[in-house]
Amino acid sequence: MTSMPLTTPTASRTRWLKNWRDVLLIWTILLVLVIVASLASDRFLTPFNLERVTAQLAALALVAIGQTFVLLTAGIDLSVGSVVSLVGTLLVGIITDSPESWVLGTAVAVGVGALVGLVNGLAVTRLKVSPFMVTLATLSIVQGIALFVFERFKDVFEGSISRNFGEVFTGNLGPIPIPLFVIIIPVGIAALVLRQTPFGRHIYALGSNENATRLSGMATDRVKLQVYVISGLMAGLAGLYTSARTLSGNPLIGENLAFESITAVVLGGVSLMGGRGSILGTLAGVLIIGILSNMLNLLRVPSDYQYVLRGALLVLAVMLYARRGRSA
Amino acid sequence: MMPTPLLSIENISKSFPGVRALMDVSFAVQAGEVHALVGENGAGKSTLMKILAGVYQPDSGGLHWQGQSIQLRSPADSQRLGISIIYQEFNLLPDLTVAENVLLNREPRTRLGLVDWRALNERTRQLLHDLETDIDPQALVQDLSVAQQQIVEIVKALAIDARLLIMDEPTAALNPTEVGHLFGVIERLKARGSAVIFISHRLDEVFTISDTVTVLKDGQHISTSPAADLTREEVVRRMVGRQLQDIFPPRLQAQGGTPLLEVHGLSNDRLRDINLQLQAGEILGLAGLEGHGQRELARALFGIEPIHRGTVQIDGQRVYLRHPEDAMRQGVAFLSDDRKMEGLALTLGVRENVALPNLNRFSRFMMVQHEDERAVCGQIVETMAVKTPGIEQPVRLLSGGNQQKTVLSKWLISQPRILIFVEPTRGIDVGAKVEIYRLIHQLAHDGAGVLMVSSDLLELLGLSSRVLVLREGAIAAELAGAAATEESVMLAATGVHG
Ligand SMILES: Nc1ncnc2c1ncn2[C@@H]1O[C@H](COP(=O)(O)OP(=O)(O)OP(=O)(O)O)[C@@H](O)[C@H]1O
Ligand SMILES: [Mg+2]
Repeated sequence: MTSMPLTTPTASRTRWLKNWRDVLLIWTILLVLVIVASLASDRFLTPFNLERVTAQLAALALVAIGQTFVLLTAGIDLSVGSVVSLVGTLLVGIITDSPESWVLGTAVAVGVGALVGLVNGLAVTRLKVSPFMVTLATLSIVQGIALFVFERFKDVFEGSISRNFGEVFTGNLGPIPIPLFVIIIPVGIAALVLRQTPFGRHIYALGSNENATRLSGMATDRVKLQVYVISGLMAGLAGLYTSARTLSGNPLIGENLAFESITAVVLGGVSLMGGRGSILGTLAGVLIIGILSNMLNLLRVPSDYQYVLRGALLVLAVMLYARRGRSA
Repeated sequence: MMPTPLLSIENISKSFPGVRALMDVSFAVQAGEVHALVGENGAGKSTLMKILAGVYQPDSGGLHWQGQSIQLRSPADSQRLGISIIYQEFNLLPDLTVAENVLLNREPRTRLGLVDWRALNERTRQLLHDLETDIDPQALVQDLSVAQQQIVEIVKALAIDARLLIMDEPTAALNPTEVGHLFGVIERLKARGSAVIFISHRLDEVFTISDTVTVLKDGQHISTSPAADLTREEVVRRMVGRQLQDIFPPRLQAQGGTPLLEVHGLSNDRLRDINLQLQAGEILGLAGLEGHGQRELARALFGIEPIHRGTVQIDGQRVYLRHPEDAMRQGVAFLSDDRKMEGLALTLGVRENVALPNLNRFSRFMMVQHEDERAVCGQIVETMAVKTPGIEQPVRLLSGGNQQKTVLSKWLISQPRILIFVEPTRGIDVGAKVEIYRLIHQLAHDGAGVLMVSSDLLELLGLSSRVLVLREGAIAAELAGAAATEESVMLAATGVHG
């Protein structure tokens, strides 16, 4: 090792492998799961079933993308599910057959999501309250508003949403189901932002060492604010998509989304301590959750077992990551 | 015939992925001696010490303790033998008090088995007293400066009655007075028959305190000889494999024109009525005893600490420095003395750390251009001779000195107009220091202004065009040219006359 070679190509190639090892690991698990599912049920690999899984997963995927941004900064967003519920509830009263109402509905979805995100972000950065507490509070408040609206204005916010509007998100574009685009396009954009832009790099640095990042001249509070707004915004879009898919408003529809999204993101290799993970990992995490529950449904496994299995999977994944973290 | 050594290190080898840190290293440490271990950054010193502390297991080779073969499988094994270590990187718990940290796991108990708080604080106060510091045993570690934290680390190691005390760069953050107190303690340990392994990049310290000097280079043992048989030049030659000349580049003169930085009547909790000017092309040194405001002044000028009164002008324009980003926008760069907490994102790679303040420069159409980034980062890493298997290596796996080079790199390429450097060469080896001095000098020569705080007075005097001496948060003297000597600085710092 006398006079070490600097940055040899082989060294950077192994490093590249190391960087992608988490992602390779989780995609391998996904692949195994797909094989198991297709062996377990001959209905799994049918176009009809796959389309259904995709349609069911899109909302989780959108929320999980936002959650990834937040978790990478070592934050957490528990309020996403109630944002989805609130948006869904509101849209029933807004969306009709007229395209103007669609625009208005989209604006409301995005606006509500961004607003809740902004409140979260401001509370975290200005009041210095921990993200867990802040978003636990907004989770509760926004959920309360959704129920309030639903109960008190039943006549306005009950009924169903225009089928034509639903088609926009659930139909097909040529041979390809639109929900696939609802997943792929945001995933692509998010991956680009995280990997290629200075903003993305600030997110990773912030998660790794907030102090050092601030002293490198980054506006760390602004970055934090932005990730909560992104998360809220993605939740708003997920709410929009969910109403289009279910054609109804249910003030509790998002109830499990916060936990499901955190599960998916952590499964995908994002560290709860921040600074580590990727969107491709998150995508795999989302797919694993969706395919697992689809497979268990096809096999008619009762849902209580499903919860236990999902928890066990999470523990397993986290253990694998922890082992790898120590050896690296 | 030598007596049986307290510890003999026999043919130790240790590799990490991509790095052979130690190759077939053997030497012995005698009871009652101070044994210095020197070598360039990344030579393998800390790795060897961690093997003695039971943190790492060697790949091959063994250890003998008083002639008996031993295996150290954990830090507990090592402590049981009477080996105590001060790690190069601090391991203090910031939310606990000084006393709780010092006697962690060894808290004195009352008869009921509860923690005896009074004894805990009293015993810690005693230990601190040996080092003649006024650190409060009940202060929280997070409120301490880097130098104070270093002293707490030392005291923590002294709390164990060690047969062998390992000190991995204990003085890197200390000023001469504190080093003097530490040496007093080392002498007492030695008189008691304990052995001390002392690691430092400051060779004058090595020659002051040690009986024996071992040199490592690139993981290999070069020599172990009595200090009396060596000269400074010879040690340097063995360490870096060549002669070193002209440590300090020629002194720079201010380039004139509007001052880059002008401060009037700056005051806050720790500073009183500071006035200063920094010209382009100038290196301005801030000297003084630890805790007299040099560090606080540097931090205030980067917007980290508040400014209550007074004005700051950059290029003749009044500026308001509320956050580091305000200062960055004015072209100010700041190197913190606390690289672990404030300098590096330890889990990220060398490239990502170096690039962090420079991302805008590497970006086009809002996208980071990876080619540019890799090229520039690779270049500076090579110039600084950062020893790493690649620029993607997570910085937490680099040796201490190489981590410091990484923090320096990120600021050196950020093309700042004003550089504020606090302890820039902390933990950096003699050979690399020369290169860093050259780079700082070059930046100033090209029209930047440099404000430097260093506890290494020789370095400060050697580089600075002018030196401001602070005492109790105020400027006690301004010394330039031949007037700036160690004596004049110390006189002004202690206020013995005037
Ligand atoms: N855990 C680790 N994983 C990978 N490489 C390591 C690890 N620890 C140390 N190294 C490498 O081993 C070599 C020796 O490191 P070591 O910390 O022993 O150097 P050192 O002599 O203490 O240097 P310094 O003077 O900078 O403190 C370095 O190249 C370092 O990058
Ligand atoms: Mg070291």
